[in-house]
Amino acid sequence: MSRQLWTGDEAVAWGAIQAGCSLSAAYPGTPASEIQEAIGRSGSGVPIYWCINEKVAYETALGASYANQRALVSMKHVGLNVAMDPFVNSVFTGVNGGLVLAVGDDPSMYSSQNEQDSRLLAAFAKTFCLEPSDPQEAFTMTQTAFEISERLRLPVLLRLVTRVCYGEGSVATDSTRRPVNETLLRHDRRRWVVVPSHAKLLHKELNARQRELEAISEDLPFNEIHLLSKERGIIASGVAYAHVREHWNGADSLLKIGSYPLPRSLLKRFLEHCQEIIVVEEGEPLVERALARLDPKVHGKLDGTLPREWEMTPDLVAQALSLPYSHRPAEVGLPPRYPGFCVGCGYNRAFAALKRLAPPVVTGDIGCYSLAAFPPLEVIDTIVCMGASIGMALGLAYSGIKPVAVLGDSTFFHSGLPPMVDAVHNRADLLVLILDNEITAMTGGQPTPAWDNDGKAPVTLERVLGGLGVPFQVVNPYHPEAELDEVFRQAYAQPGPMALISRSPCLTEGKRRKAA
Amino acid sequence: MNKVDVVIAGVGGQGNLLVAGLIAKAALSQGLEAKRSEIKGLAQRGGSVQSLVRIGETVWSPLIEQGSADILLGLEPVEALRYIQYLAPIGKAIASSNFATNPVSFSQEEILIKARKHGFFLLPATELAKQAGSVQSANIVLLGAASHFFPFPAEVFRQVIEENVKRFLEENLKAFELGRQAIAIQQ
Repeated sequence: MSRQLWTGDEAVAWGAIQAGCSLSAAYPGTPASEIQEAIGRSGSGVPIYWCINEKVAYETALGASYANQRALVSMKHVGLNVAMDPFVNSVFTGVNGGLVLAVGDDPSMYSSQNEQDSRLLAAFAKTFCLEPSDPQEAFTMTQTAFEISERLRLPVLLRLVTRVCYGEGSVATDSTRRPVNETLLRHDRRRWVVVPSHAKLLHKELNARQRELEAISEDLPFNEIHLLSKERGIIASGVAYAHVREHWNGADSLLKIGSYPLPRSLLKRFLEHCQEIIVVEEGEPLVERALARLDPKVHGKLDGTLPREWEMTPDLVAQALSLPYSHRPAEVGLPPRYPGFCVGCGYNRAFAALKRLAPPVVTGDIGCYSLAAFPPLEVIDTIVCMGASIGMALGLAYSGIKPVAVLGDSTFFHSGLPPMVDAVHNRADLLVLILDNEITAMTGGQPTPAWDNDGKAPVTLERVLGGLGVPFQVVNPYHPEAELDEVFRQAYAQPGPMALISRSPCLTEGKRRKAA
Repeated sequence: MNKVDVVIAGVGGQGNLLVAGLIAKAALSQGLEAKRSEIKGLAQRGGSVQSLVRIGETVWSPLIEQGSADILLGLEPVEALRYIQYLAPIGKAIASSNFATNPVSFSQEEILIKARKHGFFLLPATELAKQAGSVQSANIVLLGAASHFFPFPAEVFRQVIEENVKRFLEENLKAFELGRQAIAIQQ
């Protein structure tokens, strides 16, 4: 056991290194940039990636986690706004290797455009959050965060604030370093493809698991209760707890909060014990609002009077108000009606070729082609959010697995470009398959930047890929199978990044536009 | 009470949304309120489509409670049965007996037996539409069949069809009549 003087950022970095983290991804932002800086300087050998933005950083970490690796992703609070899409969806999919998201909030905006409380975003995403009050806790909590993440198979948010990130304090450490996880692929489309039919069940499951999160929170040593004077009690969390301890007279009751979801039974006991309670927290009145909710007179979603997932309906209101409600039972055993590729769609042929190529993992994206995660193709393994096909492929490539990322032309322009830049910059060994139907088809045939209608300048895939320096090849998916297979095989065999454009104009939308 | 709650069930491309719109417009032309909502998702790719239309003096919610729909209109028999729990005990279920293609194999006869058990009025809407001169008009055939159960005369529907259907107007008006007669004959 030794003691070091570390900033909170350094403590998070070393916490991650000792926890067996095998990849760190970040986009710089005060006060969180120094976390990845510290890992880079550590001599630990943990690879760091400065990604093109926070969304790509998150997806990179998620890709590594998919390969069972422990990954750390760090950013400032407003960076999480950029990464919200993969963050929130990854709470639905869950993670494989531990994934810790360290966010540096900046109360008083020392170096930021706003102040926002990331605890609310953890609550919004319904995942676990830890809030250290000093560097010692930052070190311990980072390791705990990885353990909880793997136990729950959920990403864990570590909420830091400027005074913790940049404040120095003594940290007791021992030199034991947990070995990194074995790299392995466990495909599970029911979890990793968040199309509506899957996501509806995942949301129920996630809500059902909130008690489990609460139970873990109750047991953590980061929450401490001191039931003393009944007259007054103080509740404090994070760095605010440190401020409170400066003034605590030892007579007032005291409750320290360090984890979320809130340890409900501790709060209840405290609420019953004290006549007056003062809540001190950095940021939004999150704990304070929750206390108001513990009043048993209030019914709603928290006590199960109404369900917590899926839309509100008149049916649910009738039941909640105890009004008469009955209907004939739904017919069971009706033949299901699966959506499928339109007749003659070129995507079908491209996916059939990809299936014959059989790469170890195919990361997918948002569009008609999500159908390829379902029978009979079952070739896409993950769908998380717009652009995540290439973003997650980065993390997989960095973990030593060669992925194929599949996305459409419109999605590539929307958010495939940033991770493509990272792929080129890091010489990531991956193949990107762009399904180019020359339109935004799924949503009804809107244009793409490649169009040259109304005197607009066409931004073609060829120009963009050429400009980025990505070697690419255009293939017609209607060509004979053997020919197609050879093109796919060669493209995959070539060291990446490499792009294959499978070009087949959308037949359905083409017909529709001709008719109009 | 002029309230009519309608659940329309079908497959992408059957003109579900058009029928829902015509009902809502007919109601508005009679000084009634109307609310309409639909779920289409991957309908374009052959999935199932459900729309809800509610008309009446006052309509608050865009949704229909299970067990309370006055009319269940099935553009396709399997899809109609999929929403049977919405039908009120005294509600009317009207559906086409012509099936939409589905790669999943099942017994059509069993589906039709189930539908009859629930008291469905079944009519060969696609065949009647062909007879009217436009195979696409099966939806209008079914609207014609359902037109008996609205608190305004069929003339109101003919009017909104004339105002809103641009292509194959004559065929659609004929389809409406064939549907209307099909139910009258069964009754």
